[in-house]
Amino acid sequence: MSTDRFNHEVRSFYAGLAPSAEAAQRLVSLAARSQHAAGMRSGLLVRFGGPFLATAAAVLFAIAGYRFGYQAGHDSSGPTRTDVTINTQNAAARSEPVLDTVEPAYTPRLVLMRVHADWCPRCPSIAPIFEEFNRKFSHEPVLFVTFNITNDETRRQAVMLANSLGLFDIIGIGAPDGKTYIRWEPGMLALVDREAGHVVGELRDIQEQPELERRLASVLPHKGPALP
Amino acid sequence: MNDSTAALADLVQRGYRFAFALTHDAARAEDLLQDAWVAILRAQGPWTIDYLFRTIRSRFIDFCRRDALATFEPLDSDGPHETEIAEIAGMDDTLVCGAMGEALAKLRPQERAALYLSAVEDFTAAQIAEFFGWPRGTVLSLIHRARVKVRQFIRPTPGATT
Repeated sequence: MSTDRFNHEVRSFYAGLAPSAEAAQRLVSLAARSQHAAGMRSGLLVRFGGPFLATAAAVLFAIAGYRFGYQAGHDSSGPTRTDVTINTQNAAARSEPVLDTVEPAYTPRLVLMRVHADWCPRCPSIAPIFEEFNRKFSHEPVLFVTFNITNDETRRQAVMLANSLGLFDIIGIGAPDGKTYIRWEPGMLALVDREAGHVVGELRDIQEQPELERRLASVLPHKGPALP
Repeated sequence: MNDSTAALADLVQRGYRFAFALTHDAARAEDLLQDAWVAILRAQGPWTIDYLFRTIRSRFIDFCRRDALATFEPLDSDGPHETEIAEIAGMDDTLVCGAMGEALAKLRPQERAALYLSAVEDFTAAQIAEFFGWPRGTVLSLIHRARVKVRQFIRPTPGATT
């Protein structure tokens, strides 16, 4: 049996497959309308582009800079993008800018990271625990980070953030191909000591909360969490 | 049907077949294709076969993680073993087309996808490796194993292993 003959058989099998006519027609129609709309837009842009595009780009850049920058305040149970909670006052409750006294280059030694995915059944039960840690240790030099790995887009952001925080070397796993991979485990909390280069503690179940809290308290610069 | 619509129709067919190669289930393949199509609509294109395949691949991985249907563990890059090569050479040229579907169902999604892209879409091993982010040797091993398994299923050789 030659490879060509085998491939021919495989091609014949797949050539006989097709989606339902109704589904195919609907998809083609949607795409065709999208292409037509894009064509109309490009025609208008060619005509009225110039100053309008420059202004729109400046506005979008400003919005993106604010939106994708650090967000102050507490994390909620269902984040839609990778976000970082820094121990500052909740800017959502205010309308004026928040002035930080932390130096721009400063990143705390300790990172309490949460891995979240919208499709993870364990995540809703872990979210309140993360919130409680954030509330209890909000005055401590701990960075609370959520890595959202719901889909490829958010996971890409999560990988970049983990790399920028230097977490790859600590929680990454070396593979035979020479690359380092992060093995994301949704619904997990991990306390990482960036300077020491190791994971201090992990939480995968609500019963592990006291132990993780004890470990966090033991590695803080001073004894115990701040009084509520 | 104008050229643009014909191109889109061809995209739908090829996208469906790739989705079927991954899922080997008609309903899931249609869902997967539709999900990927909506994603491309939101991104406003591009309407190219490469982008469609990559979107389908990403959505399939998301589906699997959600349903815990399949794992994408690292694969070794061993090439074909000599005994397997000897078994293939000993088989006759008859291949029962009707059993092809059953044979393909026995494969893992990675094997089916690699075989589909190689046999149907004429991807080279290097192109498949780049597409999935696997080593080229792994891709060659996947395709080889897929062929061996399919042939073994359709025309079993006594004492042979897959």
